[in-house]
Amino acid sequence: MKGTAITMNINKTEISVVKNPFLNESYTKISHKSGLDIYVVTKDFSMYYALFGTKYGSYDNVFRLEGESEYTEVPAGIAHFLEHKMFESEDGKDVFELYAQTGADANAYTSTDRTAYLFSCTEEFYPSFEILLEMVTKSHFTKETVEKEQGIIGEEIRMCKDRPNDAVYYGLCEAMYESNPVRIPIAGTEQSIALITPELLYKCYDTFYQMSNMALCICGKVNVEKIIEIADRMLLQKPQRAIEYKDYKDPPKVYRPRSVSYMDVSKPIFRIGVKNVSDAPEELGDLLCEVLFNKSESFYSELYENGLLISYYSYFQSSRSASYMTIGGDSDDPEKVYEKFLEYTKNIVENGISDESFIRAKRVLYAQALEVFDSSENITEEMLESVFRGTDFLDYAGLIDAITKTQVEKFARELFDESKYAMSVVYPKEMRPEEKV
Amino acid sequence: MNIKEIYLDGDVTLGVIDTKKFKFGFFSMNMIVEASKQSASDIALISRVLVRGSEKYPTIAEINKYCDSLYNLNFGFNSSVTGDNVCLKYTGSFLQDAYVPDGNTKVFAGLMSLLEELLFRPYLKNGAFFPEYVESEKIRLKDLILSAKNNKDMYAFRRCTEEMLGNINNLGYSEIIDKITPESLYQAFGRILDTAKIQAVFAGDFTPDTEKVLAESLEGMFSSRKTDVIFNPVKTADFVRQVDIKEITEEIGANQSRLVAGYTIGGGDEKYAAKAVFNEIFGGSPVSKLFMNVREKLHLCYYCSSMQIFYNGTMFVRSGISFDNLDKVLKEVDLQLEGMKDEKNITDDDLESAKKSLINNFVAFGDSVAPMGDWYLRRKISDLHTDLQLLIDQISATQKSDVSNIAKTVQPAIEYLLKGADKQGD
Repeated sequence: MKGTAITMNINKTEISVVKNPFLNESYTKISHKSGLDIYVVTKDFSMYYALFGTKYGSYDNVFRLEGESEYTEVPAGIAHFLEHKMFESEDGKDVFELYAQTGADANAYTSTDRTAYLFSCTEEFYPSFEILLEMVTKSHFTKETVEKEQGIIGEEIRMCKDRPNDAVYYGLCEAMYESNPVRIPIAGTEQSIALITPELLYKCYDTFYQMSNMALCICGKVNVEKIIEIADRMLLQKPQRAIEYKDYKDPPKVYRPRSVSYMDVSKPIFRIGVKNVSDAPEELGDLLCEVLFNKSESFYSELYENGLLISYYSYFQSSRSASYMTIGGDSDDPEKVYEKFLEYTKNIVENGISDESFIRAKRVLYAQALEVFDSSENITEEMLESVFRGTDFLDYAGLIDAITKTQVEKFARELFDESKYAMSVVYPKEMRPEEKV
Repeated sequence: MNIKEIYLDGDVTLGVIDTKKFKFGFFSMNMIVEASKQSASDIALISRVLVRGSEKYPTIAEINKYCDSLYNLNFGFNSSVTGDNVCLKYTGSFLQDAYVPDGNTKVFAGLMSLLEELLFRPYLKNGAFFPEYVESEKIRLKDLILSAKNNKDMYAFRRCTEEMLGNINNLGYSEIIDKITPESLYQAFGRILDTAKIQAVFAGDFTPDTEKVLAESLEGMFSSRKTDVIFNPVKTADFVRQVDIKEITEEIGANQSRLVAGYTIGGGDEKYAAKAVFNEIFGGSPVSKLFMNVREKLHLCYYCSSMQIFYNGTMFVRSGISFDNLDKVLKEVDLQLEGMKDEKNITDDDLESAKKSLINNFVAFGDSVAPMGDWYLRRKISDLHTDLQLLIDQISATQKSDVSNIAKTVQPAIEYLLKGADKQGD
């Protein structure tokens, strides 16, 4: 199921075309002279979608550039703050107004390990593309615009603090990690963003928004030569400097086994995490998680039939910032769920997994891998994720297919150890000990 | 997007969107009856009980195993209320047969077979739904009703619409759910099977095999219905309702306050395009009057937007704010709304960018099976045309005067505030 690649040159720019005939999908990689790699998937969709990402997220609070002796430490929330500021141009015009003229819908997001700027449109793709390149490759920050944004992001932080799912997620990160910045909300705090200055924004921009640290993914009926022509015109060739990211050297054990908080919710919301510091590839973790925790397996069905679950989800997370397996949901008795989790994983380690579960899980992941190709948004997101991970997104289905039951069981034995487990619970505020009668 | 309609025995309307662009196909079916607190409660519970088991697959695990073996067959039942109608809705997405590696497994046939199994051979005891499944799902459903407050934005919106319109909750009502028995629920389900209006949609590769499976399944399930189907399409409000203006404040444990201001807005379905363009300019985009003024110019919030419920002639402005800024936000919202009543305050850029953005969204429907299918069913329940190109043309033809005329019909109805603690710091 693996893809094949053909390389050629167009106007002195190296192009590779990678195809996977089994999936009937392909993409073109443009290695632009500016240092930026541009990926194009040609699809017969009405919607064009472009995603311009940088390997820079809330995790990257301590860094230095090649040639610098000292590390720079920046306030929490600055990557997200910078994302907001990129929508203002030097002449004070809001970039959304420029996109409005071409009819494109634009947005951006910041995660723990990347920031991405995107637009979608059904016409005028190239003018919108130029707006995207212009906004991401130019920076302009002033004291006045920084102060204005502190008010807006302050309200965003307060909005997010009302979200129980955010609270249970960050509670789990605080339990699993002692110093890893994933335990801090992506937007920072009202105190931390008050420390952001234009100078710090420029420092972060100049460090992380180098073309060699970025990637651009496009899906639609675009012309590759036209993309190169626009990139040649708008992307400058500048010296690129290597970035040294701080390695938090997470120990394999969790920092503490529990995190508990209280909010105005109707039922306890929980999340169990299994910390992973190994180099296990993402697809192995995805398959193990699917084999054990999907809704056709006994872990879920027994808890559900015993009335211990109201809602439920599970997934394996593997990124530059953190890797873990997690299950979560609502339950009247999260500690009981945790007990069952302990029993279940112990049994898996001792007795392995069934052939039927293994085959079903592979079918599910194969189907999920194919479903990505039905959406231009999903295609570009998965492509960007793969590029930053150093993998090929056309290979995922084949990688899943190649995994053996033995490999899955071996990873289970390495992963499942109680010292790596933590649970975060958000209880209804009525259950706070001092409020009980 | 071309939609072919097929009328099947048993009063079943099937919309077919034939497209070979996708690896996954989509099938959805609405079973529509008149809404009441009782029927909404019954259907909310039925939607949960049906997926607990059937004769062939008596447990949730066995149903899920069947779906996983069919390459992640994704399906579910849920309940929705639109106007005076409540739907028991079945939705499924499936890997199309051309992409199944073994070349033999017929996934779509499996989806329809599962639907028939769950509807017509549910897991019973003594001629009624299995009591243990009914009782446990009653508990979960009531928990779900209570959990509405977990999402403060949605909770504020729901409370505002309840106070303004008295609309029925699609999850039902705890006091009614408590009284439902396995027998009463099974009887209610039987009535739905016999009398519901059935509207379905298929989006995907409509091969002769698929056509055969669809027709045989749907007619096999419903063609023997003898009882007359009762169906009242959801009518689009074409008048401005007179409502008493309310101001309501509730307190809840939240950091930020949520404002939801409700309005009535005139114009029937023939005004859909003008209303949509009005909404986009007023508060529907990042360059709208509300976003650019309340957020960007005055820095009073992170979000301030408007949305409409077209069929019942209402509009809502929503914003997350500090309580201290409430009066300033309301004043600016009023100012912007007042401004739109004069077409001189609508620039050429405002109009053209709103139209482009809306058309962008409609054209993009053809890029995804689920939105295509859902849009069709939403139009059908209101007995409205499903000619997407006609809507796009009407939006293109909208003028500033059309937009300002819509603005003139807008009347305030309610100010609902979910007051937070407005806590600073961590």
